[in-house]
Amino acid sequence: MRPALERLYRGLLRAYPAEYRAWREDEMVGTLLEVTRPGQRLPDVREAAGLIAGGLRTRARLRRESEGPAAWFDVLRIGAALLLSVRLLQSVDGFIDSTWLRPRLLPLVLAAVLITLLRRPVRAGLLLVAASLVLAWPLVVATPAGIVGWSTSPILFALALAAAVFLWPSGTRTSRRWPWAAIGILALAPWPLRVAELQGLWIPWPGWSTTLYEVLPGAFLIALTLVSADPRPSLGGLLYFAASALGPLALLLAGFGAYGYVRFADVASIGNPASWFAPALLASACLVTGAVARREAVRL
Amino acid sequence: MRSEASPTDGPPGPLREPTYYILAVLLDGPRHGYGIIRRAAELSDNQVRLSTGTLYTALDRLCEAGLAEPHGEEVVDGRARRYYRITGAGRQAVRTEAERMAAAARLVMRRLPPLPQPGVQQ
Repeated sequence: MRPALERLYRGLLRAYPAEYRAWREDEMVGTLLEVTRPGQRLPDVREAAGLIAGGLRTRARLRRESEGPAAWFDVLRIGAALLLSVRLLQSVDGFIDSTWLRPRLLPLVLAAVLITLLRRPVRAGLLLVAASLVLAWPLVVATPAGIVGWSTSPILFALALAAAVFLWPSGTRTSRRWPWAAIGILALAPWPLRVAELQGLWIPWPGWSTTLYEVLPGAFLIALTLVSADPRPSLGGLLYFAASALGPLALLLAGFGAYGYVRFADVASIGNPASWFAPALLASACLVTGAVARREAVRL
Repeated sequence: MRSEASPTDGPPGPLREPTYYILAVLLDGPRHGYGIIRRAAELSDNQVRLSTGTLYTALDRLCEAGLAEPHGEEVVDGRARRYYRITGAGRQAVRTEAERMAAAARLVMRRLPPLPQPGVQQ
């Protein structure tokens, strides 16, 4: 009997869903303890990795089985959560630099929505709707063109879409927190690097840290897809990155030109290929890994 | 979207290596989790070392596809220990995979020159 090692293995088994553990945990613990070496005190790295990957794959499989096509609604939710996280980081500079009301309110509102999203996606959607209306008000006041200025903010348009995603009745369970938490935490990870750049501590090239706002969450979603053999994280990333890459280009082709740049694509510069190259690359990687995972998910 | 594999699906495509070895082990008779891991290592000269997570993920999929099934359980050290056995569909699947690999091996072996004998001049 090795109670300490057994406790550690039971902790790793929490990667599996509760209903699965209720049926399988004791059996798996027995097997894990039988394969341990004499005197072993810590879980084997290979076994630990196998349990985490197995847990993620089992979660994805059971969700597909229990919810059928409705489980694919998570793709929209992941895309919308990524949008919120990246916009939060992009808006923090505005919070620091600007004295205007809207740039200062935006990061606070996005942070509140992300925190609410961890437990209550529907409430997060309602909060987004309310926030969009409040955030839109200064634009109405500031724009002589009135309703035109109110309706053409790309940020508010994107947030309204995200709100619709979270409010849409999907029939899926909404109490699972870890995917939202993981996306949120990973999306916030580059912020210390942004601070380092703003302080002049390390500047490989101007604006390098903002590239990580999209690259790190994208890499996380791709890794999650490959480990869990679940295409939904990558496909959620594909939604976001494709929109991020094609949005400015579509505006340019639609004839908005400089007006489109000022009014719509206030973050991505249309004339700078670097602004759409990274999202296009990430979108391609998401597409490929999503297709690989979809095939792996049904292979014996 | 294709649904999960089920007993009503057609023959499975090429099997993953862990799945192939699990079915090969179960050809000898029902075994529990640790028994499968140990025997797979023996059969493969320690080339296939199944982790517990990989084993049970594969067993779940095999049972779901009707290629293997639980076959009784006992309690050891206060914990359930389940046994698994191969089904008729499982025997057919592992036979098909073995024949596919044998045909692929013959394809190459026919085209390779015989290995030179030690000490014999070419």
